[in-house]
Amino acid sequence: MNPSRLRLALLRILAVLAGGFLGGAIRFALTNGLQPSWRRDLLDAAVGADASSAWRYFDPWLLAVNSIGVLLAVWLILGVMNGRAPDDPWRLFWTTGALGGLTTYSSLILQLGRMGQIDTLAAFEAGLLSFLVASLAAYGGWKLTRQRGSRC
Amino acid sequence: MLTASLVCALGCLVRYGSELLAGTLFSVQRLWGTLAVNVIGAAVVGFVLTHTLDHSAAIVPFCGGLTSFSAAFAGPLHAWHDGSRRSGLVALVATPVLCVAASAMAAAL
Repeated sequence: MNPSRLRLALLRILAVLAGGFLGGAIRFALTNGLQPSWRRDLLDAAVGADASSAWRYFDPWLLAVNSIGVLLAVWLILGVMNGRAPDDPWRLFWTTGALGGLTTYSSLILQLGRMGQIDTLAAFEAGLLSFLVASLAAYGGWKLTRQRGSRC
Repeated sequence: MLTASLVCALGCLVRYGSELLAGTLFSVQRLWGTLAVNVIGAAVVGFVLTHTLDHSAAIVPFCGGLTSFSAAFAGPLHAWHDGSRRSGLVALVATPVLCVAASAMAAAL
């Protein structure tokens, strides 16, 4: 491999790693570390005092980061970065790395699995809710690309 | 959190590698590589959820980076936008169905 291609390959790897680190750190901070005190209160108010409710395992922050990630990814891929190659380092940093690290399917499945162990219907409803909110977010991202008059 | 973020970044890199493999080795659209790692990641967390007590093990943040909710939506929409409407629709619908199935199967092992 000639030196310029090797440099480009390393740059792409670094872009994915740096973006993934950034996105992952934001998600972990939101879902684990920096939870405001009102979050649990809000959830308690939503599911009531029933400690056995499957909805106790539902994480609104995960729904939020996944949906915001979908909106931004659609806006970037179909709008702002539409003309860039899939392996463009900036596109890799933001979409494959940062938004890929920010959003996650496995944590959603983990959450639905925990809910499903208590109440299958609640797990199905939570999965459907996640999919519907993400679909609305994707539509929002697509509308943003139209408003900007980008090549969409 | 630092370690988890680093492990998550490694997961992102493996996902990128699988997308490249899908495109170059198997000559299919990259979104199929994304679908494959999403299903594998879901199966792994399904197994972890049922068979281990340590849900904070390093494999969980790795799967967080390996799988991507945003790519599972943006990839199919991009394919739809580029004219591959059937591929986009199939990938969009198949991802949650296969992820749930893989997770349930792994949990039942």
